[in-house]
Amino acid sequence: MTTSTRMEESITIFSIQGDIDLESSPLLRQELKKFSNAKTARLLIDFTETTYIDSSGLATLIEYFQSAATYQGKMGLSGLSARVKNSFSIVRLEEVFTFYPDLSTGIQTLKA
Amino acid sequence: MSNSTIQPALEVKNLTRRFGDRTILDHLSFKLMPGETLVIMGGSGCGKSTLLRHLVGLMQPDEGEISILGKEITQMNESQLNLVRTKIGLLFQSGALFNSLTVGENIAMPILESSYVNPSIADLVVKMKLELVGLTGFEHLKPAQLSGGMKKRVGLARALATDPQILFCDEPTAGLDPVMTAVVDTLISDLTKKLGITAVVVTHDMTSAFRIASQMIMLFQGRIIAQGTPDEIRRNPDPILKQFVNGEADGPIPLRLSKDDYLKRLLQA
Repeated sequence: MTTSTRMEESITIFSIQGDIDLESSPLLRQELKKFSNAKTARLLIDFTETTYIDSSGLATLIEYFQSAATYQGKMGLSGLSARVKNSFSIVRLEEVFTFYPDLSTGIQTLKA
Repeated sequence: MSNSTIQPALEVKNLTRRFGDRTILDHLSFKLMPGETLVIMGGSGCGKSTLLRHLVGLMQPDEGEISILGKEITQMNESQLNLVRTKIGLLFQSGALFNSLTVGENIAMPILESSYVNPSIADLVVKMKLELVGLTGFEHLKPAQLSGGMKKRVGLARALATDPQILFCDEPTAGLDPVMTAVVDTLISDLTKKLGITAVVVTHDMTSAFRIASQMIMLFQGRIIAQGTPDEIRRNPDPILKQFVNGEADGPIPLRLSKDDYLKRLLQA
């Protein structure tokens, strides 16, 4: 797994490439901690190049979600493949996170 | 991508195991593609559980090969096997929980053992896995406080804790009520169809078997006597298979010794 961060239209975009699994999710946690420590107001996590997410990856996102809620930080997930989206739905997380079909929809919605 | 270019999740070639002069597994061959569910059927003592133990590397065959996710395991040492085992989940018949640990600790154990995941993340994974098996809120109980069916479901949650690529289950629905049986069957179907996990399930429960299987194998006296999709198994005229699938007392499956054998054994000095 590799990650990259950039700003676009005042939204922080965090892109994840490759597999999020038991081996890589501690690194994801470390990266997301930076956003919660900085109290990032609007974070869009881009899954366009994410090939797989396991339960430890889902748990890491839940932990960030809980943390962002304490400072009213907004968070969205964009560009998930059907298989990656299924990993969320099988443990009933579709209602916890906000999903956008692609990056630009996510940016436009979070900007509003 | 055509099927021929996809690697089988599991491939067994000529697997044979003998105990003394008895052949428990007799030249078994089959393969399973990713996302498929193989149901292994057969009467008590036909070798189903022994086969499962070979497939996960807990027993060594006398002959034959077993490949899991493209890796031949029969010649592997324990540390090589442990690497393969990180990719598989195993549900034992009994659930096999540690009685001194809570439900949550039992489920978290494989996660914490196999990675550097933080315990707070493991706790969240435990909650998700308990939800999958219909036991949300049970993480603080000890196994002794659970029914047999609940222990079985905790065992399944633990087998799924590390998100295995192949799930092996020995009688996953034995002892469960019909509703919970359907929940476990739906879960296995969802895991295979939605997440592409491969499942190998040993079961006596024919309703479950036909509900979840994409491939089926019938074992009888250590041999595969029928193999195919659920439709092919339904249409197979083999009298032993038909008796087993229909759950009939009368038929070719020998339930008792012949009278001569019985009397000989009874009366021999």
